[in-house]
Amino acid sequence: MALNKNSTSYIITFSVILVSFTALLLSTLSVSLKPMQQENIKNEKRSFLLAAAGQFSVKESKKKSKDEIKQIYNDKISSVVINYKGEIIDGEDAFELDVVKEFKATSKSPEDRKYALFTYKNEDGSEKYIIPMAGNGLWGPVWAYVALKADKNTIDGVIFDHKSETPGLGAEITKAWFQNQFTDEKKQVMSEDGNYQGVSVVKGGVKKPMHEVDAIAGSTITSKGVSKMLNESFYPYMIFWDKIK
Amino acid sequence: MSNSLFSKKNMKLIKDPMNDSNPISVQVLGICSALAITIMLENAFVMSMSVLFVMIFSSLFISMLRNLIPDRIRIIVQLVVVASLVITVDQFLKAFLFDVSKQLSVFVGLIITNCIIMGRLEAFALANKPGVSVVDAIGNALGYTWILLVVGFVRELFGTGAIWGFKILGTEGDTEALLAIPGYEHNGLMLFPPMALICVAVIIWIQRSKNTKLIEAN
Repeated sequence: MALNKNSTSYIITFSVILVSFTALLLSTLSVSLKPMQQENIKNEKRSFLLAAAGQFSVKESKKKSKDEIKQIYNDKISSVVINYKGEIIDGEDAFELDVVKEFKATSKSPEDRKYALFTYKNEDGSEKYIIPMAGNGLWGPVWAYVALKADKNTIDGVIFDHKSETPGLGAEITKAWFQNQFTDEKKQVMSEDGNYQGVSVVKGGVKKPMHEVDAIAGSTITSKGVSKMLNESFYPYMIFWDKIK
Repeated sequence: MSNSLFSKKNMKLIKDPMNDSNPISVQVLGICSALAITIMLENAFVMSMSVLFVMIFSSLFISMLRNLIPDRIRIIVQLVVVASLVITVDQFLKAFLFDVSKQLSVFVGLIITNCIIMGRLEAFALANKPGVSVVDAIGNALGYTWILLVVGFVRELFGTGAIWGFKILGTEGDTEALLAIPGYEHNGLMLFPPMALICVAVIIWIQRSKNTKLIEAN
């Protein structure tokens, strides 16, 4: 063969061609698929918000088209962004606010964070409130959409999700058995004497059924992260609603 | 070499990895992913299919390029090809099969580190024509698949009492379960990686006791 495959110039030429080719291919792919991927993420967020409010289950939402979900979302849900002191921040789009990014950027200083609040209108005109929140799991972020009843205190529905928890262990937070714990029995954010309490995930048996749920066996760190998130995240909303004075 | 795709030689490329030269139980390659994703049958299946896809196309491309790839950087070239394919799979899943991509989460990226892929590229695709390389890739991917499915089946059934998410075993009062046995407890140990290792070891044990060719002298 005329070409010396082990010469330096051949190796460099070969690598440059190969790498430029794959780079071109992958960037084209990434750019052309990006709109669809983002639409998927937005669609999921809309269905999670609606599912938390009890419009339909997550399973049912998979059967609906993206346009249908967008339609229902626009009809039923309105939103505001508030700060830690419970004041409305103008000019912010709550739907575009990425809770996980926001959490990561301000994980040490919750008072700098922006908080999204979604309001869902029931058929009869009463309202439910959906609070998005984020926390740390074992391998990556975990997040949740928690719907509160019209009393702005009792939990009505929850949807948990995570980036990379272990299937069968930490990833169990997305399963019905874990999420049903929040709705089978009444869970409340405020304690009976009117103090801020939040909800905790505890090991070894629930002692305060109004404020605690059972942890997942074998995934202590995920459970702790979820617990911390549920403990702290309601705070600014309770100020916003004048529940904490 | 025969031209027929189903010649005896080609069939051997498919059959051998099932038993005599199984990538997991005989060559002990790709163990890491076998431990990580066999908690549930569904994950094991989707992982196997992704590995199948990546193996077929990486073998095809490497085999097509085999006369052009400089020996000294062949591993890096293999890595570039495999990584590009894995990213392609990941991007497509995210755009078209969003739910599946969510279930697989990090494991899609981990296909890159699956030693079976690099092992077959190095041992076979670099020295053979594209057609047979693809056949070899399919054979090895299927050899990987059946072990994963068996381990996934055992771990999901005894670890969480379900198969492919359907509840099978449960304790009394468990209305969802098909078979409710009073006093039955799920084996939590099944959910931990060491149990996957034990399952694979049991498969190797059974396989060697049946297939005497595999038993080393002394």
